[in-house]
Amino acid sequence: MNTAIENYLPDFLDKDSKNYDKSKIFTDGKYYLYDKKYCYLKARLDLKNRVSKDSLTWITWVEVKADNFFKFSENINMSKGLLSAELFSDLFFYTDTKGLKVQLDFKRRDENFDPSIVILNSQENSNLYNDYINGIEPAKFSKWLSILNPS
Amino acid sequence: MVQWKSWMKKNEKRFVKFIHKDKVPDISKTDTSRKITEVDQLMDEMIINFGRKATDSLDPPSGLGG
Repeated sequence: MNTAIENYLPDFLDKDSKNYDKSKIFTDGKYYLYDKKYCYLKARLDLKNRVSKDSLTWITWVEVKADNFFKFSENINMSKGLLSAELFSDLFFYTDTKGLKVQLDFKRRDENFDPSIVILNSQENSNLYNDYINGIEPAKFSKWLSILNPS
Repeated sequence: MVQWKSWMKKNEKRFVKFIHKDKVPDISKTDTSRKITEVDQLMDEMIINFGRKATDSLDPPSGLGG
């Protein structure tokens, strides 16, 4: 069983937002270049229950330096499908993850072409990294599911 | 300690939405183990095309300004 949590489009990329400035945005509807400096796209993180086949999925927005995205787009085959990025917002249930450096794996993606997030080991994200490597403890997993699916 | 239930109630419509199990996009069918397909090529083209168009958008057409 899988449950996903999805972040909405950042407000400055949302046409209906008062913070939207069309002059700063170039998009094809999937990827966004903002202010000529950063690219934004959706990516996903799948964390498994440590003992069962259940998993939780975060579908969230990530930020990539525009130059890095352009280099990646010019040499996709050379990059092995991996692109450095940062989480644009905190992951639900994991505080202080905004700005966390991650990698995007475009060869492992979902049917919406959203790449998988690869969590890198660092001192700032030990809880997340531990869950990424070992899975989420069953008790914590059940508690989170009950929050997401209140009966 | 974040009280997630109250946080969720307060912020759900602003920041997150919840996707139930039958709606979660499938990743198993597009795993790394399978061979390159038209779908892989389509995604590559999407990225390449965006990269080209976005870089073009950075450069104003020649003859304007400057």
